[in-house]
Amino acid sequence: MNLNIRIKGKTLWMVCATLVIGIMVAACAYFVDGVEQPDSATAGSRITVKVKLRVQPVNVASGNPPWNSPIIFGFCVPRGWKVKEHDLKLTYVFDQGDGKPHPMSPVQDNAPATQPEGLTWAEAFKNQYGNGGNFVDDVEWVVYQTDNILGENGDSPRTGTITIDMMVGADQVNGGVDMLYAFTDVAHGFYADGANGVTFNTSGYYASKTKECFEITGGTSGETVNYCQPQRITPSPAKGSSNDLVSFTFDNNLVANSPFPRGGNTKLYMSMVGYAADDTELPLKLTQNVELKQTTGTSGKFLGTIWPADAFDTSNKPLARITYYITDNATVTRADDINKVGLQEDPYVDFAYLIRCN
Amino acid sequence: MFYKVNLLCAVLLLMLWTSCKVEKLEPVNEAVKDVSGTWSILKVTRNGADITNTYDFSKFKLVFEGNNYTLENKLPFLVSDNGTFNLDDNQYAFSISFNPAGGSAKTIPFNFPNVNGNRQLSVPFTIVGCSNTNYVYTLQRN
Repeated sequence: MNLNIRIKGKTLWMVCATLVIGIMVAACAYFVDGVEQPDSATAGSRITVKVKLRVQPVNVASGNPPWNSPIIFGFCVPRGWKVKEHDLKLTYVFDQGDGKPHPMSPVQDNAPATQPEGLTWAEAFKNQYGNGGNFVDDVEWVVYQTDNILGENGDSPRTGTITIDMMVGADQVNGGVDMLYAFTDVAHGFYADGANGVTFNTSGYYASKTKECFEITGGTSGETVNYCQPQRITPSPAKGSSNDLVSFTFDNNLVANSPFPRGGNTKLYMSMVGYAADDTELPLKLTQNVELKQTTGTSGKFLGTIWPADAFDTSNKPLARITYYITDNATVTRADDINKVGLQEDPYVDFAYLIRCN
Repeated sequence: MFYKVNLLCAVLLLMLWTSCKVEKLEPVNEAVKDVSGTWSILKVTRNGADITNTYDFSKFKLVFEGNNYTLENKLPFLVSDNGTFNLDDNQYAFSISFNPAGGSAKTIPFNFPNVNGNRQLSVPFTIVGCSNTNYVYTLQRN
């Protein structure tokens, strides 16, 4: 049998383009359509947040697997709020389900994520979204899941609402924080872009939306932390013991009239002084200032880690706080430091890191 | 012709019968989990973020010998003193316990994957008295 198939070049391109667009459209399946949340709240009060989800129908013909697994939902809040210890409640309503609210279940801390492999779900959210846009690395991912799938609706979108009832600002700290809400599903997780030959562009089997700079007021601790503002120095963890490994990221880009050059291979160091609770200065055990390495070639951001208990002699008194500045001088003799950057100039103030757990 | 067909059927039945053999399945003997040796740090995460390249972790050693473990060039870790260790099951291990001398035992899930032909040991922990920050050391045998 002689079968002649004639396809014109124009037609071939059209078919290919349609297939490619079809795959991309089919892959952009998950959306957070909106977040209803107050702009501010009093420390220690409860708020209600509604997060609207949408899943576009998956085009099975394009080679994408049908979507049929429960929702994994995560949101990012300051650790100091300890939301899980303050009667946190999450419920979901699927519009194509029975229309009734159902409780969501907390995902176990050590439950492995589907993707990426080797991470827990909380780690997977952190891996995907970092600190949710916040500049202070003292936030945690709280992860819950639905018991059911988002319902069936033929070729039409499936929609639902997750409602969060939580206490905010339990640590009585004032300030602003970016609140990021994200979801994926149990089967896919944060499916890698390009996996199985499918390119997802910027969205795939997951989606997110941020409520920017939610403000806590009326806190009684006297402390203010603006998570959503860029910081000259970002310690991580923001609150730690002397036995933690504490990293410091210095952003030279945020220092107007910085004595350090922009870009290039500048070497910067942390010069530190440790104090006990009674303001006694503790002997420094380090023989050289802590080097901060530029995160990428010319990023202007410099990162280094210390182990406070190993940096200072705490054999007589425990370490209570560290004051420090950034310098381009490696030697620990502070009198030699001509160029230095602290928390502010005029009047000059050192950076400070308090040794505390909460 | 009739006999030939019968003969052919008989031969086929004979072949079918002789082809069936009862396969004796013997359970695979799971290997004993051997952690002995000196382990060094391959990777460190803190609250899920990789901090391996921000600190000198190269000198830290965890040595398993017999029932004992020792720490060399100490770092923040699950335990801070030397002691004994044990697996909950030498073949089907789900947890490993560190029993520091004079301290209380710490038991963690036994995560002992084979990566590129080499065993790794994953040690998750938090700092005693300050459990907000989660660390995971991924160790490899020297």
